[in-house]
Amino acid sequence: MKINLLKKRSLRLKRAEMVRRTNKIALIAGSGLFIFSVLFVSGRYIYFQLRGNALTESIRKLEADLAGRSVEILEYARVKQILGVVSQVQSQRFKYKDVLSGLYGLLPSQAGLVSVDFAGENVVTATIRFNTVVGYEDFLARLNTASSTSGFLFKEVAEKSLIKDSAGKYQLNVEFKL
Amino acid sequence: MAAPTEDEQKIFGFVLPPGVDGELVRQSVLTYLALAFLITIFIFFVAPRFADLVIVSNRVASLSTREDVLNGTRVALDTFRTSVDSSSLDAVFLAVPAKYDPGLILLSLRKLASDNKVGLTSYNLAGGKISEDASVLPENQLNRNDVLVEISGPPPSLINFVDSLDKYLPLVSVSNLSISEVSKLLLEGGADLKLEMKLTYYNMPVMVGPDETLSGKLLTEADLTLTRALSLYSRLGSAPSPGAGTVPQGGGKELLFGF
Repeated sequence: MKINLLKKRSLRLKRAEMVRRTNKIALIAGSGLFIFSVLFVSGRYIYFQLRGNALTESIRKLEADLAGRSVEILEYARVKQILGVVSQVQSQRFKYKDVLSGLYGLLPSQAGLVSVDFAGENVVTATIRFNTVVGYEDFLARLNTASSTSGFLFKEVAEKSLIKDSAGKYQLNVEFKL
Repeated sequence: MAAPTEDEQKIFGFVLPPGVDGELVRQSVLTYLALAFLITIFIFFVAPRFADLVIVSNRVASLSTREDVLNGTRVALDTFRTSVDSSSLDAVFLAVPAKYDPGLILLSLRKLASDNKVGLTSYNLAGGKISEDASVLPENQLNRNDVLVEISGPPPSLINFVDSLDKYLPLVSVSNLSISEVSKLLLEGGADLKLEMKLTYYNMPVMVGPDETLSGKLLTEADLTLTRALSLYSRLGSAPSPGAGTVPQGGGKELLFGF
């Protein structure tokens, strides 16, 4: 039986070479990472320190500048506050004129508004006087026509009562929901 | 103890078994010792600096924000005077005065009534502090001052009066509006209608200590537009508003509120 001693020796040499290479790579990679982390931390630290100093100096100058303008700041802040209040109030305003015009637009020529009450939330109660029952019918016809249009202001119109008074005139109490 | 022979190798005081590559072992040991040393240095000296780095970074971010706020404040103040003239500024301050001024409210109402040709039948001002030590005033507190008003006049004028309140200074909001005939007898004679409503005026005391910056309070384009709009509002001493006295276009009918 023959044993190939050269092959065994060659394998040992190869393995040794591989270990050497691994050692070299590990050392270079480890050192590289270490140096990179040290440089990164140091660099960032120095940068932040310099940037911080520059900002502190800039802030000191700005504060000194603004210290002499405190009245202007007060005035400016007040304007902003007031405009906030004005915006809020204006956004919550009820468009009385639009509603009154809408009501007025429903009236035939023989009718007149006796009273209008806006006390309820999104509800307007109105009393309308008609000289004759023809006026009342005309009002209903106008209401039907207007409610089918896209710009009709009211979601619902409810008749509460219709009374004929001693003078022979008709009073209609009607509720408009917005 | 026997001394090592020529074939035996000694590394760091240890005798290696025969056949082992001493140089390779020495190199491997040195490599991993060096790596262990670097890792130790990293763990004890470099890694803790990362936490410091975060702290310094946050500090710089905070300083940068503050600088931006101060810069923004300065720029806002610089452009404030150019974009808002003094008449607009007066209009804004008149919209919500610092103090409750019933005299101003009444004079404004009278002028508005006169402009719209309606009669100010009655008014009822709720009480309010008309004089107070400014140093004890609560800051930024919006006070509401209600005024119950009753006016009479022709229907178109009443509607114009209500409409012109929206474009009048001081700022006012209308609520609880109701319109009714003065009386049947008067109605037959072509008399006026009566309009009752609650008006709410506002006042807000001036801040005692001004803020250092305008952070979160910068005027937007909408604010500037509103400021310009307010300067066009009518007020005491100004000419009657353009819409005052004009009949609203209701339905084109001649009969309104029974007239």
